[in-house]
Amino acid sequence: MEVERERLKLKDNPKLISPPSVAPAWQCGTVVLVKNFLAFATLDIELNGAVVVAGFPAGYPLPNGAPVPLANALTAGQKIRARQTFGGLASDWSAQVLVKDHLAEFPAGLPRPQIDPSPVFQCGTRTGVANLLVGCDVWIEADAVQVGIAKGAKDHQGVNVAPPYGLGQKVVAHASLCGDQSPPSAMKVSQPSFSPLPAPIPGTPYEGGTQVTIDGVVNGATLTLSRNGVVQFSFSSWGVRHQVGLNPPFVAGEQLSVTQRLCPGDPESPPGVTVVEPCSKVPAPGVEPIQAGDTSVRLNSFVPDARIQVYVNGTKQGESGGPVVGLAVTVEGGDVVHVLQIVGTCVGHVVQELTVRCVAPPIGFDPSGLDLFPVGSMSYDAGSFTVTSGHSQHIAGTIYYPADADGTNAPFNKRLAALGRVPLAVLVHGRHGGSTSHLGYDYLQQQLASMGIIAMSVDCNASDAWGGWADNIRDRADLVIASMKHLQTLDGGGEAIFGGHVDFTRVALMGHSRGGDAVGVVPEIITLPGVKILGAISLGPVNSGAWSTKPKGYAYMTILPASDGDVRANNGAQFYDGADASPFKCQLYVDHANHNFFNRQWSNDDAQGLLPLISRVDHERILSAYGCAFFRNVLLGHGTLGFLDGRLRPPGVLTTEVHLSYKRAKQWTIDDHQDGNTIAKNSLSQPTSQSGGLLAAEHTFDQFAVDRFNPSFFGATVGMVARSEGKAGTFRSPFAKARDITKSEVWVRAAEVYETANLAGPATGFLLGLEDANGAIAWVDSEGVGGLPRPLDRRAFDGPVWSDDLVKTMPNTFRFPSRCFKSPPRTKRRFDPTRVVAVLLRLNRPDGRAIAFDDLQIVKA
Amino acid sequence: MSSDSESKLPNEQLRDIWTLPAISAVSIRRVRHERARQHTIAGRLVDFDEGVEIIIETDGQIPIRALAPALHIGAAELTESAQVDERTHRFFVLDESMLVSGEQILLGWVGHRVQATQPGEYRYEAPAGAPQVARSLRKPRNPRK
Repeated sequence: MEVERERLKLKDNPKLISPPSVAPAWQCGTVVLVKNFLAFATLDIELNGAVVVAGFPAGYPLPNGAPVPLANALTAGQKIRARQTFGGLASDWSAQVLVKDHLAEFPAGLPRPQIDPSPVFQCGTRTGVANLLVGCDVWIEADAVQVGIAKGAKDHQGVNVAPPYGLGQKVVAHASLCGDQSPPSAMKVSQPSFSPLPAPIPGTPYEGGTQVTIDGVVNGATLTLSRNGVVQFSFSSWGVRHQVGLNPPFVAGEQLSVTQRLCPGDPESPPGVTVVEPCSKVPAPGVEPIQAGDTSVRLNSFVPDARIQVYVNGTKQGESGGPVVGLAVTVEGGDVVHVLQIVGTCVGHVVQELTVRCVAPPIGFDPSGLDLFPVGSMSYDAGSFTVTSGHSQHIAGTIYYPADADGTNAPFNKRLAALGRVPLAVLVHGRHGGSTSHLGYDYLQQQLASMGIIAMSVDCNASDAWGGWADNIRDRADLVIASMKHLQTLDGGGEAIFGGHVDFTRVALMGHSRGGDAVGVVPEIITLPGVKILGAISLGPVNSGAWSTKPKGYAYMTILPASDGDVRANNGAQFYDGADASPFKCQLYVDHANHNFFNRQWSNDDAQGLLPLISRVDHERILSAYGCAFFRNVLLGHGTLGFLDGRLRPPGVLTTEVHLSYKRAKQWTIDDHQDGNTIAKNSLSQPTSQSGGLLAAEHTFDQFAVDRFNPSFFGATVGMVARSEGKAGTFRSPFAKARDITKSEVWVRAAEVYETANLAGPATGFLLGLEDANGAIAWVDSEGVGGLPRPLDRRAFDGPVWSDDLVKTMPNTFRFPSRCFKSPPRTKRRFDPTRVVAVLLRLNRPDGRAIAFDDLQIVKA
Repeated sequence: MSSDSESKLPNEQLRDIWTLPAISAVSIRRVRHERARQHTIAGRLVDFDEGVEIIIETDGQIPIRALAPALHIGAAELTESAQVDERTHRFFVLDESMLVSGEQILLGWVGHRVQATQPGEYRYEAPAGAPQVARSLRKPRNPRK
């Protein structure tokens, strides 16, 4: 919310500026990359306690920070800190960064560089290269001839190119560090130049500022910037977005214009023009949600050279450049944070105001973005095979794998192979007809291969025409196992690509639609020696009854498209409920997603255009991000579980559409309602109680169960549905003895129960309380941990097509960290989190809506 | 000067996956299998030495999609089938005791309510007990309204 600064009594602390941050640093690097400092601050670098660089002029923090050169190359184990000085004030030292040997982090060698952005163009004179380790050397070759190099690179480095690219040249980037050369980047072919280029789009500069952002820049173009009609200078850019500094500072009403061209002699593009706005127009910065325990704030929009000031409960606790500003305090739930920006001497008149939430997961790294290896691919056909139903199909499919170079049948990556066998992901498509369904997950296969996982997609297309239901699912499982057996033959037989390289003790499955059912069958019937299945993903699965429907002994995830126009019942919810969470289970219920758009070969909208949908690209991003997070954790042991249990959000994903359920093994269950001991006792066999007008009962969360609450439930578990006649309706679930929850979180699955009459209007919610041994109760509102989503209205499809209503009550998991439970103000008895005796659920909304609950647990934080 | 007019490609985007063709013929037979036929029931493979098959012909193709076509006969839902050709499907009766002679045979989707107003009217009649004796039902001349 934006508020007028003058209405606030913000208390400045003029002596406080925040420390900058230091990017990861690597042995042999000759620079330290510093970020998040004030424009034109000076930087000091400390190495193992000694200042080795003092007063380095930092310039602008955007776009990519300041690379500070060092006299000597770094060595592993050194400790780096940085501080900034601005206006005579010095910040504290930054958090310490430990210099690493890149081979400790990347045993198979440097990640492969990425030419980013792409494509590159004829006459282009500058190229961006990403996915670099800071301090490496990066160079570019066109047709195998070096045309540019940058030493001591940033993580995303521009490389000037001379001579400019010709037409159709093969452009590749390389990197090296410590004498270790990376694999080549994916090759880009320089595209024809065109003229005139579109006008660049300069952003709005503000009085007193000196830096302007230019969007719409063509990759490799030369830009010319004019100020009040007078040409200032020309520069080349890798494109898309460029930030450029000018001096003296801008004056309100000045005009800046920018043109661009690719080839000398080409006409300039039309000019992109902007006018400097006065101080009064400096906007409030955009700020990401803040959660309890944060020690910094992250901005998502701000003037690039602005000073950002952060006030917590009215007092300044941070000041630096964007996008991340460190704080002098740790914020708590309910704290009020104000963020403003200062451009030159212009102090923003409007301020961004946020209330710190108990839970507001930050954006983390991209789990699908681990790009280490070139990707080889191959198709296989191992001849005919007879499945259980008696039909025959070729054992066929495609395999993507980490390779020494991109391309079909490229050799397996030797450095990775030298480290040991490589895990396997097996993908199974659903029934759509045609002959290409198995090709529809190539984007996921490539991502998995680039991070060191062999990704096989099994061709089950012929089986689409066989008919059958559970029989067909069994047939698909047979085909999956036959393909794995074929790969075992290649692996054991010394085949040129895969011989000796596949780790069959690390296998995970992903199936879509009928394939999502088949991946449940495989672990129950497979008898191949040496195969261990560690995980399975069911994407929009059917439930044909072909298996137990209780995933057991492996990690399980299901993705349920809420606007599925084919598998309307979202049957994967039954599998989630049946899974034993060993070691974990996860469910993604995705609003505005349909059945088909996760597969690139399935072009039709199964919801027949009757429901609003997120784009196909957004469908793919969800599968890529969460799928890779799953496979990386299960097969590579990477720390990506935070994306699956909701502690982190993947970037570039419409996470507001994704509702997570998550359960892990060996946690303390207060009540899962599965004990058959009635609502009167919890899973600890302790007597529960209802008060304040609450009516709660246990129901089977199944559409067709006799004891269902209503037909909006589509799972296979027993839970509780509660409704309150007033604002004090409370359900109390006690423990047998007092428990210390200071290092724990309370988790509960909850959902607003769908009832047609309630579909309009705002969301409902509840309070979760902890009661200590002295009777003191601390409450946290569900709004503070993400809020109950509304049921996804899909009646526009179900009504016309089926004359029914499959809007669902779909619980998701809410986390209540113990740090959020505070004594209410003006209470005599202080809440003691070390002696908690009961959890309370209070339905305090006046709307009287029913809420479903399940799986109330205490979970180690 | 020549000019072209629009040439629309099939609109795959709005492909209808729910509309089923009408049944145009039904035959019911009891079959003895030379080699036991295996079906997956509740997660287990079950051998059938013989069984009743209901073969339907339709006036169009059944859409290929995730869900399976099913024959609804009274309270019974037959979900296991084999496609003979694009318009002929062989449904396998896995539990004869669920079927009641005289019940209407309706084509629908597994797990979904079936429209009882399908054109034509075919009724189930249990085939004689002897194996490999097929008994056909042809479209009745005067279907009951």
